[in-house]
Amino acid sequence: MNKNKDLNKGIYKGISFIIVVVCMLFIFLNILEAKAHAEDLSEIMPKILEFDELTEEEISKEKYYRILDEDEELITTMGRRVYVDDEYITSDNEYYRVYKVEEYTAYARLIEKLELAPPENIRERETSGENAPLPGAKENDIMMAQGEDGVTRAIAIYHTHNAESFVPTDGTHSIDGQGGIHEVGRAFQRALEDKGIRAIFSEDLHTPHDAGAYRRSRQTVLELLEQEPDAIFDIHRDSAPPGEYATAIEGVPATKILMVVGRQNPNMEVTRQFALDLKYISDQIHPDLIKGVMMAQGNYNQDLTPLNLLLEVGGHTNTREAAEHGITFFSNSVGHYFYGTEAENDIEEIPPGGTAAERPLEEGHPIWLAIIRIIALAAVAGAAFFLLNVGTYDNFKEKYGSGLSRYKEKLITIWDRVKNRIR
Amino acid sequence: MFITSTGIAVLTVVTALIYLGFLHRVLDRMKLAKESALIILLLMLAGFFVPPVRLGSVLWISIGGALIPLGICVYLLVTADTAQEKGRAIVTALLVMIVVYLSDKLISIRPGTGFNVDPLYIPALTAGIIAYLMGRSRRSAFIGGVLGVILIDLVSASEIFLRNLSPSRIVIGGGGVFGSVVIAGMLAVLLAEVAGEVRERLQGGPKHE
Repeated sequence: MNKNKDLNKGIYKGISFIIVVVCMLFIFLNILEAKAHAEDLSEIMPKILEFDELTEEEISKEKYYRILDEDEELITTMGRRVYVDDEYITSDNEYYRVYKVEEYTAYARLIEKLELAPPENIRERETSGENAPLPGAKENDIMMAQGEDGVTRAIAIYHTHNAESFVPTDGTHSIDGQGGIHEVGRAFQRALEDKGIRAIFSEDLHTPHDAGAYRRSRQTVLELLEQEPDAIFDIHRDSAPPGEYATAIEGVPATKILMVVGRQNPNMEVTRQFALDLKYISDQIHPDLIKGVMMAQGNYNQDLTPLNLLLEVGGHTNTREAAEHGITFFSNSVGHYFYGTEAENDIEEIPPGGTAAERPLEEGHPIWLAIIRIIALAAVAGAAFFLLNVGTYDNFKEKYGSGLSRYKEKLITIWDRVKNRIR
Repeated sequence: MFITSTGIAVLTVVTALIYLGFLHRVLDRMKLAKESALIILLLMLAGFFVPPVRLGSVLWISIGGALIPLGICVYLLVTADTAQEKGRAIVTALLVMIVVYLSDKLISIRPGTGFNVDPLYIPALTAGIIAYLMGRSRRSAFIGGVLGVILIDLVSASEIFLRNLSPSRIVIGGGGVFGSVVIAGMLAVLLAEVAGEVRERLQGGPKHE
């Protein structure tokens, strides 16, 4: 008997290890396939040993992915792999979902054309017939809405990938330490502060510059949250051909900005709504600025707060100056969305008054839906665990039958008493 | 929307509470009584008010996010019944470190590319799968996740020196109780549990010991 047991154990262990190795190989090969096709191990191994990041070869090979619609028209090109079920919202608010990916081409189906509604509070102001309020009135509204000493008026900025740089200006796509992207962060900070908004800019590095940087930037996000900003932005740059992001706004060369929402966290719906609200305001002020919203596979530390948005400001082939202009224009959108800063500019097209600043989103249904969904999910998970533990119905009766029947008796007694009272 | 607006604050608090609830359940499966598990959880939360402690020019350590989970790991290792169990746990941690290192380097850092899982969850997935396969051990899963991420942080720190990179601030257990170390340990255990429970159900019900 013992021999058999040992043999079984041995076989079991052997099989387990084989499965582990197969799993690891599978993961390894999956990653390799995502990297570049027909790369053999002999090319990859030296890179691992030299500790180089593999993005070098993707960049040099200019491997871009294209998303096409059902008529095979190009929706967008991006320096990232696209997966089935990825979702992308274009600058015209067309909402696409990818249904097929072949090599470097993804095919997406148009789900709907979104009608972006103004954020809740603007709609209210419009129906109540108010226009741009006097600065004093705005202060009061803000104070009453917040119920405390006033709006924080602070925006936090950080870079998970500090090394990202812009080839035309910085000479390379990646500079160890503070890359060109930090200048974009600084431009954002300057633009916000020029509007009287406090910009909390963390220049903390998250080296080594690899996928683990997101684990390392978690601490940065929490530290920024401690300072109670009104929103947090993780500023990146994309890998893309120059035409994808290059644009001109008010005659100034700039880059478009892509908003990225991670789908692997419970806040996804709320973050997405925030991105779309911000896009709506931005589309009013600078129509060509927001390239789109990408719902990507990832977390990006957006689970820590739903107002942590990842921005891709231009691509590595755009000039850094264009990116700096792009983010500077974006600061107008951010300023107006939160604090109504553009109202002072007296421009007709801009929605009246402050926006998010007027009222915290109490009736914002994405938020409450998200809360309900999380509680429901937790309840389901808890119930599933309970059921798994309890086993079959017989086991259930065994464990809880007596307790439940006592409870049932109590209920019957109470019901009888109630019936007697009623009579 | 503001980070501090009512709706968002409620959402954040509810998410945090549910997370902590699951974490408490995971902890009390770690050979800790329910009350001890709660106290440890509260200690980890209290760790938020204590800044990370500096260990070197690049290395810092978070009390709530790494030191306390590490303490639990040590407790589990010391109280393990057999040397084999201890060995399994350590091996799991080492395997997690290797797999996470490879995936960090090979996964493209562009959002949307590479393997479909966020780097935050890879240590937990790896630890859960390996610990389960090696011996269906919840404790190995926990140690694998926690120790694995701590090891990879140490590897990253040494990589900064070896490659002469610009010194960043590597906070072991950065994120505190919501950080990568704790998440790795917690999700790994939950994964191993689910795998274990499902397997037992498929085999016809839990074995009453």
